[in-house]
This record gives sequence, C-alpha cells and structure tokens, in this order.
Amino acid sequence: MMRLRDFDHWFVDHILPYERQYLKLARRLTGDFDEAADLVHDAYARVFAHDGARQAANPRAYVLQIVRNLGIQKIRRARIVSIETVAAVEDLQHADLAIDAFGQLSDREELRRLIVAIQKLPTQARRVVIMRRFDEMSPKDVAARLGISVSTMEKHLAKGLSLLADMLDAAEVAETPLPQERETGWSRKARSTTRR
Amino acid sequence: MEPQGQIDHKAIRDEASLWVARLDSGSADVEAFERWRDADPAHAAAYAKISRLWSRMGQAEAVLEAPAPVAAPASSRRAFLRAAGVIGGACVVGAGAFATRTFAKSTASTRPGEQRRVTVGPGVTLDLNTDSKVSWRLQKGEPHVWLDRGEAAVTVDRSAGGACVLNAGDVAVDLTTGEFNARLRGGSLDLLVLKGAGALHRSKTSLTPATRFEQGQSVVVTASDTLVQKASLESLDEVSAWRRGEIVFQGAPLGAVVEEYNRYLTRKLVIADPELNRLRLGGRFTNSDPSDFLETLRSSFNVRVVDAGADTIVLTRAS
Repeated sequence: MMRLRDFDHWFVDHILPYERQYLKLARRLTGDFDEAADLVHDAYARVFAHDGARQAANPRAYVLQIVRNLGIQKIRRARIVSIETVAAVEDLQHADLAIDAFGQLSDREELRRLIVAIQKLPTQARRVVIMRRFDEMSPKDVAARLGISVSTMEKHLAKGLSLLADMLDAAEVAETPLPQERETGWSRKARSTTRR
Repeated sequence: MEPQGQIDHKAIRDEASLWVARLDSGSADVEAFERWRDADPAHAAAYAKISRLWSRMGQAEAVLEAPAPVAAPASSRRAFLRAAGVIGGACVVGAGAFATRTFAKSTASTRPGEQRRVTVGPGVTLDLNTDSKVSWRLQKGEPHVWLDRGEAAVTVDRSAGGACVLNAGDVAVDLTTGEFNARLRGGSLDLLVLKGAGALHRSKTSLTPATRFEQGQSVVVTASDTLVQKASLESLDEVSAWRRGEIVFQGAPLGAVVEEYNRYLTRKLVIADPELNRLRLGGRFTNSDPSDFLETLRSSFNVRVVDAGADTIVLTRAS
C-alpha cells in the first residue's frame, strides 16, 4: 500500500512525467548536476506547499517557472557568476516556457532506462529489487530466500530505490549536452558531468 | 523567501525510499509515516517521486517481454534476469527447482486477425482476440494472468479452486468463477463481467479500497480510479461480438469504426479525408474480412475505397 492521496496522484501523473525537462532547465541555470537536482526538488517542495498548485492550467509550465525563478534567485545570490550563466538566464527570460523545449522520452524509453539502471545496482539491492518487483515474491519470501531479515531486506530495497532515482536523474541531465554548451562550455566540473 | 539549498534532499530521498520499502512489506508504522510526510512538503514530494519509481518498475515487465529486434522475445525477460544475477549460478543455494517454477512465465500471443485459446491451469481458459499477448504462471497454486496487450476473454470455472488474478497495466483484479472480457487500453483495463463476479483487489499505486463487481457490469480501472456501471445490452453485444468473429457498432463515428477494424487487419484502413469522420455508422460485419464493410461504405455512404498497396486501403470521399 503506497498510501497516495489525490494530490500525490496528481503530482505523479501531471508533474513527474516531465522531470527530464525540469532537470535540464535546472542544469542550464546551475551548471552542476547535484545543484540541478536540488533545485528541482526545491521546486517540488514548493508545489507541495501550495494547495492551489492543482489549479495550474499547465502543470509542467508551472514547475518550469518555479525552477526558473529559484535558479535566478540562486544566481543573484552567488558572488561569482560565469558569463555563460548570465547569457543562459537572459535566453531563458525570453524563452517560452510552455513549449516542449527539451522533448519527452517515450514511455518505453523511460522504462528501458530504468531496466539498465537496475542492472547497475549493487548485487544485494539488485536481487531484492528484482525478486520483489519483477518476480512479485512477497517481502518475506525475498528475505527468506536471501537468508536475511525483513528489515535488512527493506534496507537493501530502499538503497536500491534511492540509487535508481539518482541514476535516472543523472541520465536525464547527462544525455545530450545542449548545443550552446558545446560552443561555450560551462565550468570544468559541469562538463565532466555531461560525459558518461 | 527562505534560503535555498538548505534542504538535504539526499537524506530525505533515503527516508522516502525506506518508507516505500516498509509500507510495501507492511512493517511501517503508518501513523509515523503520515507524520513524517506531513512534516515537510519536501518529504511529501520525495515520497511521491520514489513511489512513482516503484510503480514504474511494476510496468517495466511489459517492456522486458516486448519483442526486441535483437533478443528473442520469449527469452528477453529471462536473459535480463540472468544478466541481473537472479537466476542461474548467482542465485541462492537450494533455490534450483523452486526458482524455475517461480520465475518461469508462459506466454501466448496472436497476430492481427488471429484468435487463439489457451488453457492457463486447471479451470482457467483464455481466449485471445486479435493482436494480443498474455502471460501466466501459478503462484502458490493460484493462477496469475497478465494481459500484456490487446484483449482476452477469461473463463474461470469451479475446478480452478480459487480466484484467478488478472494483471493489466497498473491494476490487478481477482476473478472468481465466471466469464470476463478484458481489454487493455493504454494503462487502463476495460472489464466486462459476462458471468460471475470479481473484485478489484489491489492497484499498485492507489489507496482505493477493494471494489466488487458482478454480472452485467462494465468496469473501467485505471491506476487511480475505478468506474463500475451497468453494461447496456448493446454494449454487451458489441464487446462480445469478437468471439463470434463479428464486429458490431451502433452509431459510432467512422474514425472509431476504422480503428476497431484495424485491430483485425494486416492491411490497415486509412481515412484520407477528415470530413469522413463525421459519418456515423451502425452494423454487424465479419471481422476477418472487411470487404462487406467496404462495400457498404461504397454503396451507402458514397465513400471511395482505394487500394494503396499491400499495407493500406485508403478511404476518401467520392466526388
């Protein structure tokens, strides 16, 4: 039982499918993968803090707008800002956030990435994830099969979920460097995150 | 505005993952969970994100089993599991025979225009409609069936000795003795109870309590909603027509009729003139051969039917 409420369902169905776009925008604003992920998660928290969020006519554009605003605030607060970042922000101020600027992964492609990520998990986490989620063994059976307690099994499963979430976020951001990035480059740190 | 970047999102994500795992295994203190989730919008957001990941994993199997150009379709899932170290040498000692039984899933599929009957286990029979795919296995003696694509009629008789669990998209239903028509549309399941009764027993992502349904009801189940209503005689006729080799529609727009017909055809019908979509048709035709249907379009509706090669038949307005 995942205990999802109406708002959670709305968030899962209307906000999360476009995560890739938020991450890419955040990445442009921060130039750094970890900061980009944090920025997007900050934006999600804003969505949850705002009861009226569900009234947004275009939930995706609404989140992109929050990401943009938070990103700009962050840049204003930072002492040193690269020329490229400034240029990116100016670009973004003119960009129409409603357009599907970064494309959308197909359902299938998204699931394929998930499977690839599962294969990269550490052994124990991977086994637990597959047994529980793909072979639909009960948590008890999984624990018994692996000779561990249910509580240890839960920890492996949780670790697997966290790592998967991270790997998928990273894959979204790393996949295609924006054309503009190729020309100008960001900081060295940022560039290294675009390489696999 | 509070300062940004102060929240430790990684720590919150780890907590969210642990809650998902604990709620799944039933060991979670539900009240403590709700308190945690209510304490901070960042908690609620992280939890929603991890729970989506959780439910996406439940859907990934469909992709694993889908025909891939490189790997043989039937073996792709096993190949994946092997690569992932779950079966074969890396598995836990003593799991040998049991593992085979647990992991092996049988599949059957039909191409467009084909129909096929398979027996899944004692007392459970599946009739596959055109362009469909099912898989199944026994789990603790209980038959579990996955409707991976298309449409199937499920017949469960007394000798089944328990409910058949039907999984489709993101939902699962218990089917007790009876006859059911199940069709997958996107992630949702259209279920018609022709005889007997059943119950929605769980949905991977929702809190919706079990819904019971009975003979003569049509049920539409999505991950978050369930709509149960009485099926009209017309819709019962329309839905079950395929088992008599027929296709039946009443006052449906041509676009919908063509879409329905195309499920059965290798040479697809294409409407070239959007104006034609305004036509509403009713009728009863054989689903294996569209020539009567096309003849009716030609003679009664002034539609031109153009042979456009091996794959396509084009419909336009006759001038």
